[in-house]
Amino acid sequence: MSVYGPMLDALRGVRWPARRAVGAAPPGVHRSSQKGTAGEFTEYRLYRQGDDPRALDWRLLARSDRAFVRLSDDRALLPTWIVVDGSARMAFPDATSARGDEALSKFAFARQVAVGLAAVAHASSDPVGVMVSHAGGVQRLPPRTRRGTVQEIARVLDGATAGGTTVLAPALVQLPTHARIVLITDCLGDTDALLKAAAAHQAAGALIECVHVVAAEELVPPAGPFLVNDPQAPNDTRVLSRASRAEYRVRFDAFRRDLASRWRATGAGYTEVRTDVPPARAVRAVVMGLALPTGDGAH
Amino acid sequence: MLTFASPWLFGMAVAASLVVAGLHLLSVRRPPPLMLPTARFVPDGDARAVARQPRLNDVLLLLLRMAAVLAAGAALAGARWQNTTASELRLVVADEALRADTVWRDSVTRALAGDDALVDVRFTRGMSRDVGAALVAAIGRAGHVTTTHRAISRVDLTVVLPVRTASRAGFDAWRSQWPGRVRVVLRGSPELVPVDTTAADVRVVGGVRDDIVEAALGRSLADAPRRVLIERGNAARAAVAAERTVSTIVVSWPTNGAPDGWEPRSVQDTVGALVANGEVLVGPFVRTASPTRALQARIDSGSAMLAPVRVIAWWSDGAPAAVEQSTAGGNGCARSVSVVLPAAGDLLLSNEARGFRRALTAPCEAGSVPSSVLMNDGGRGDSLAPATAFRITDSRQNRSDPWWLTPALLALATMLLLGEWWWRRGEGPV
Repeated sequence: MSVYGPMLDALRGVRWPARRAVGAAPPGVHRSSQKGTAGEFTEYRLYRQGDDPRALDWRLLARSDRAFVRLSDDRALLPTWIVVDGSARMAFPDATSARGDEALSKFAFARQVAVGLAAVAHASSDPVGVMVSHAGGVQRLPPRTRRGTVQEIARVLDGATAGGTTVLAPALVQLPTHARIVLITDCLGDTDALLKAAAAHQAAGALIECVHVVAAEELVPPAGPFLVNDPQAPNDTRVLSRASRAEYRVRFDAFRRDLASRWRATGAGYTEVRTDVPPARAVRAVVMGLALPTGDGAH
Repeated sequence: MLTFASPWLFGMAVAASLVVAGLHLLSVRRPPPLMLPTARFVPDGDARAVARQPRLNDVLLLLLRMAAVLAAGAALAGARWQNTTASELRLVVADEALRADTVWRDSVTRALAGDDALVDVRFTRGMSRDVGAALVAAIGRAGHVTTTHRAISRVDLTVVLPVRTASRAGFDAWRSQWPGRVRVVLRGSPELVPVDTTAADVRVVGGVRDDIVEAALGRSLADAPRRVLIERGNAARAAVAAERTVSTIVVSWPTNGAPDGWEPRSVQDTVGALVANGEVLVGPFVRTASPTRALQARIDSGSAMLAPVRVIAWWSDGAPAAVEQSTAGGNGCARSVSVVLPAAGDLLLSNEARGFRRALTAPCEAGSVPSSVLMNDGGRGDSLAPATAFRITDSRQNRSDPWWLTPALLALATMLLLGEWWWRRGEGPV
């Protein structure tokens, strides 16, 4: 936890309300789509047989001789699943890349953001669980609210190593629909399948948040000619030269714009975070639905 | 300054180094690999296209290779380190008589010295006999100096002559071998001696009966401008001494034996011809005597001597047959002849003996040539002789100078190649 300590300190007091009313769930802090009899008045409704007589507004009944029931918005818990992409592509940049060991790989950055989001959700008394798909397989920790959950999540993430050719869509399908699902990924894997599954989950009532992790080295690749390979497609070798660099950036920018619009079209939240920003700032951007400055780093 | 015995070899090394540089520019190298998850957005293209761009890569490696090639080429080309950068050799050839005159030598060296010139003063014998000796010495010296100093591109020759010289035939013959201007300088003021072509009063003293010499040369002319006494034996010396005057030319020509200054040869040999005044007299001559060492030394010294000795007749092999020596007063001369005539025959009376007869009866120094006539050598304009005409390029000249320069350059080339290997040892296969 010492690695996450400064970030968790920076996130103290941050809350993460649901973007829309949640369905039926145990009482919590999020606005529920269910109506209840909490102290905070919302509206009246005519009394119907079977209603709890304690909900009757007796004063109104006395004044108008009509039986109304006082209704109020219900508050519900929102289980939060944090899904972390642990594919080989997330292990970039590694220690041998241009920026060397000073660079934070996308997976390490994703771990930090995941722990930060877990801490924020846990602070809202929401049950928080994690699922990481990495070289060792898929590890999951069901949502919990007890103390120490964030530490458990951190331990699970720290034990994971990025690698392999993992896919997120099948894992997403297995998650419950009455939950907030945060996908922390670089969106370079099974993007289409993931979007399809996310749209289905969104329609089923889940709250999907996509945290798109982009490495600064991907936005501005190192100068000089390189023979570049996709870690998950080593046979596809291409030359990144001065001439092709500009075209690369054009294509990558178009991809990110298109990806953002497609995610938002599904009703999911979408936040692009760069690895060269502080993780706490990235967490705040995700929580508040803010857009972080993006581009080539020259801005 | 670095020069080469075989510049074309070094030129080939330079060309090879340029080829190396060109290969560096055109080298096809694989760019370093980079794992990039977003590689899919890199446009497709030829992986070798980037490396074909003319880019000066690995400058240090290129310099190492070029230096190794150039060092090896310099070693094979026979590199020579010259302390002088002079491009002109100012060669002065003077008579041996001037060797002792260090003041003259220093003044000449100072006068001809220049930033771009190398001054070399040489002395040679025999210039009083024929100026050709100076050209022979100059050609030899120019060959040595221009071979040693490769930076020299032209040669300026100055020949310092005695006032008079016996012959210019050698000069005329060797002049064509000097491919440039020859500056002729006379030492001292030339004294123009009028040539006496009149007949002489010739008396032969002490000869045997019917002496062929008396028959051929004897002539009594009372009013002749000069008198020649030919003594044909030791017994005639007293008579000669009685008749001798200051201007009398005494010719010592014993019938048998050797005249003064000559010594009998241990082994007599036959000589087929006698040369005098440019005419050849062929006959069954037997050479019985040769000049003594002292006389030969005086002959070789030429004009350096106070009383110079010059040859007036040669055997066909170039040995002296008759010499003339100026008398101490300078007005007359004495001649000694070591020619044994055949006992019978009229060889000396023949037309071919005219040159020999004239040499014996001619005025003193009559056969010499005023050196002033060489002042205009009728040479090849004002151009200096090119050094390439003298430079020696045989196989032995391919050695470096100093001798250790070639092994040192080869060692340097080896070290550079080892350095190149060390530099590249960390590189992977291309």
